[in-house]
Amino acid sequence: MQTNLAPFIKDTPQGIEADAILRSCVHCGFCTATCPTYQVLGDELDGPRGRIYLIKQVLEGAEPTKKTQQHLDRCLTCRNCESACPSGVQYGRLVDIGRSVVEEKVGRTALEKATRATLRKALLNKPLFNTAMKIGRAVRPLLPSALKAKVQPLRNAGTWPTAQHARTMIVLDNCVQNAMSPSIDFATARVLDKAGVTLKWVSAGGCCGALSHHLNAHDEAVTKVKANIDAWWPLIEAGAEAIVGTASGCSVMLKDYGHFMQHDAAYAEKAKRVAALSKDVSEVIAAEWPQLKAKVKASSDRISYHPPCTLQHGMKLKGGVEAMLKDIGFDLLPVADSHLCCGSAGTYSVLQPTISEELKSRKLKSLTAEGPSQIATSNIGCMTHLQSGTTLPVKHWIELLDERLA
Amino acid sequence: MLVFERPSETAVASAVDALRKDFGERAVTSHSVREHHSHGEGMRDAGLPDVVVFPETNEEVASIVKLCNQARIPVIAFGTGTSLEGHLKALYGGVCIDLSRMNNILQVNAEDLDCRVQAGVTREQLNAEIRSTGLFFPIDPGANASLGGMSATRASGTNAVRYGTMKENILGLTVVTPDGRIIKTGTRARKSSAGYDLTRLYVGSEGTLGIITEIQLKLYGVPERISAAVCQFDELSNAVNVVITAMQLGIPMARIELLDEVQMDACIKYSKLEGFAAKPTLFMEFHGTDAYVAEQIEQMKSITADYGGSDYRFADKPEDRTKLWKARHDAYWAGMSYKPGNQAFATDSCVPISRLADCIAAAKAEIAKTSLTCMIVGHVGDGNFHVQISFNPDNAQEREQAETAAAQIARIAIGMGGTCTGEHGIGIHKLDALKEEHGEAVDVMRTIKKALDPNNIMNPGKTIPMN
Ligand SMILES: Cc1cc2nc3c(=O)[nH]c(=O)nc-3n(C[C@H](O)[C@H](O)[C@H](O)COP(=O)(O)OP(=O)(O)OC[C@H]3O[C@@H](n4cnc5c(N)ncnc54)[C@H](O)[C@@H]3O)c2cc1C
Ligand code: SF4
Ligand code: SF4
Repeated sequence: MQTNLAPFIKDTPQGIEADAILRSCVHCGFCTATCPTYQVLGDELDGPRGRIYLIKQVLEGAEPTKKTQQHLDRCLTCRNCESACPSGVQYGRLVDIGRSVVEEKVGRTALEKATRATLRKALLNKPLFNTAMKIGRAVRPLLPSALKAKVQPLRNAGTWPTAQHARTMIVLDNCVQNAMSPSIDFATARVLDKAGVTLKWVSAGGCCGALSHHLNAHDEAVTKVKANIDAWWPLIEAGAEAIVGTASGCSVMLKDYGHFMQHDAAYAEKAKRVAALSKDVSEVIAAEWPQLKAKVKASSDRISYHPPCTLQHGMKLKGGVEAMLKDIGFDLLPVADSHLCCGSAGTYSVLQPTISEELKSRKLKSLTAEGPSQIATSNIGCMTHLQSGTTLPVKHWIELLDERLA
Repeated sequence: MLVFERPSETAVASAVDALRKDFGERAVTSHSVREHHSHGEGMRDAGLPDVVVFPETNEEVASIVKLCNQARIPVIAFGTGTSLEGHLKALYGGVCIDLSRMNNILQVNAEDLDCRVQAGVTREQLNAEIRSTGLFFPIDPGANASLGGMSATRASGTNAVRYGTMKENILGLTVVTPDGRIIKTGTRARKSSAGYDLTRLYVGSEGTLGIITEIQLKLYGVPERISAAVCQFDELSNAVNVVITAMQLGIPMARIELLDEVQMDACIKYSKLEGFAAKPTLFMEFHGTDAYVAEQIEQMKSITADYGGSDYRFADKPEDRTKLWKARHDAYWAGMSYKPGNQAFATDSCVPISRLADCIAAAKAEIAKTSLTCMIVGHVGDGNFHVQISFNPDNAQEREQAETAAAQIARIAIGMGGTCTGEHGIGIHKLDALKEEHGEAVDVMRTIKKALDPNNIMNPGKTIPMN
């Protein structure tokens, strides 16, 4: 596309990046038909090509309106469109830029601000969130159904392995996961222990920064990122092989640290190193798979697997988890439209409940079509979101491995 | 040239109010929606409609047109917005009727090989929905266009050499006339001598005579055997001569598409094709029984051998064929992404098959006079090819070179007894070429337009030069 960015942004790093992305888009619309929000709403402007065009207009100087903002807010940032685009348009980066410019120009209503702030504060404030979850669980039988769905009974996490191996890896202290489902990190630690790797849990207060980043709280995100880098640095120097993300939504952010901090003189280099060491748990396990496989008991359960968008579109990691699950005998059922988002998308389920619910029910329909006994996925957000709509157990796939450790 | 007086602001405002009352949220005035509906592909010089309406029934379409006719406000039909000649630009504002919600397949008569669809059904949607019947609809422009838009531009595609264009494949239409009547043209019979052939009049009328709301289409059985093959050449002229010979010998190819070396380079990069060289190339497809297909391939091989063609690379598996033809369909986008940020004109000459080699050579000579990146791709089996001329829109000299070359290439085809547009249509960019091609006959076209649309509300300024 031809571009002519307005002076306010033209020569800034954001402007230069956005310009290159806009020019690479040829407006073919191949992305549109695969976009979940376009499928639900049927409006060009609620699809990627339309959003790209809206962002272009804003960066070229057009005044955005509340409507513009709404079209951008409705985007799940699932990056399905990136997978569909033959021209390699980096939509995810563009929409980040577009959203921040639009927010600067049209602002947020008091109510929107309050919701977003509460969401951030609640999810990022560990003691508060933990307590909320505990209380939530205690009073669960009394909760209205919409809320009850989000507060699910806790699975027993078991124990953290005590063996100290020569090989070490670091696990990210996720903001919400440990309160909602601590069993995931514990399971990862046990599986890696079998592979002769000690998983180290270092807390820097939790959260990779993605939550703040996606709610446009840039400074807060930077603080989180720096705190994590500082907390991990001694372990990295001591030879930790990888920083493991057990939620694909966090893994994708960790891998982006280098880009995210590129203009920060003090942290740019360290962030690049952290990003290079960052791996999704599926990559780490796949690398150890030859020795691990023998230590996992086979299963012939019929299950369906939902690959989160952050895994398949964000990190472009496709088919890895499925291959390992199949390898130990799981009957992995075919799932229609497995490229589509389940509607969880971080805080999206709270901010855009109608679209989110619609996508959830479509996703569950295809996940359960062949009658699985349980559902597996790779991200805490998708897990709780899907669980709220089904009585079948929804688990992280690493838990399935852990359950079968010999 | 002003051929229409913009309606007064009050007339527009009261029409918009009335539409809002009738259509609620389906009458949209937001700038971004109007902008999206103000252009097709190709050049996007602005010309915004005042309102975009999304009707769902024939009667709703008729009510909009009637209102506009009374108020003398332009009406522009919108299918999927993939047309290339400025067809959709709202030169005088007005009401854009987006037919995308009229997307139902109304009947499929497998035993008669026909179907009836609403105008907003796209070609891919139709084929996906009738797949289980073993039938298919062959006309396949590169874009996933609406069948209404394809009817209105008399579109064709890679299959036209065997199955014809939209003109050959439409049995009848439902049309909303400019005064708001709903009429049916044609029948389900394969032929008819009943009166004027109104179907053919509306096909290719680019929304200037009425709004097509339903289309009766011919369907075909999926052939028993489909085989696709690719052959590459060192010289473009050799590839072209293969096509001419094959057509003159009457080999019943289903598809035969030419890509020159630049287009091939762009397609290899864009569609990630493996194992091909950036050389002049023919994509071919053969349909029939096993024996019949084998026979056609043998005949073709002897022709390509005469012209120094490479060995064939076959794609028989459906997924391989799909990949190959998708690459061909995406040739336009491949060309666009070859030079990021550039714009392009796609010329559309079509000549009698015996003149194809001369016409392509003359077009090449025209290109050589410019400093621009150009590529050639075409449905050469019926003498049709496109030169995609890429230019930097911020550079006035490049734009002028591109415009001159495009006009000259159209003129060359006309001079050879051909046409300036085989399938894309006239829109606003080819009005002058139409005059060159048809001279006095344009006056008769104008008479028809005036008779059927006396207030000139239907897509004014397009297709027929009014002065
Ligand atoms: C990548 C690419 C490849 C292409 N390849 C080909 C090709 O191979 N062959 C080919 O023929 N074309 C091709 N085209 C051009 C384009 O796809 C066709 O012209 C197509 O028929 C346009 O259909 P549409 O639904 O997009 O119509 P639109 O662009 O929406 O409209 C086109 C014209 O038809 C009118 N119209 C639309 N719907 C109706 C209706 N229901 N009633 C009355 N008038 C109506 C409009 O007012 C306008 O004048 C290509 C375009 C692109 C972008
Ligand atoms: S698929 Fe890619 S190039 Fe095409 S419109 Fe979407 S983002 Fe742009
Ligand atoms: S990121 Fe997802 S929701 Fe957003 S435009 Fe792309 S496909 Fe649509």
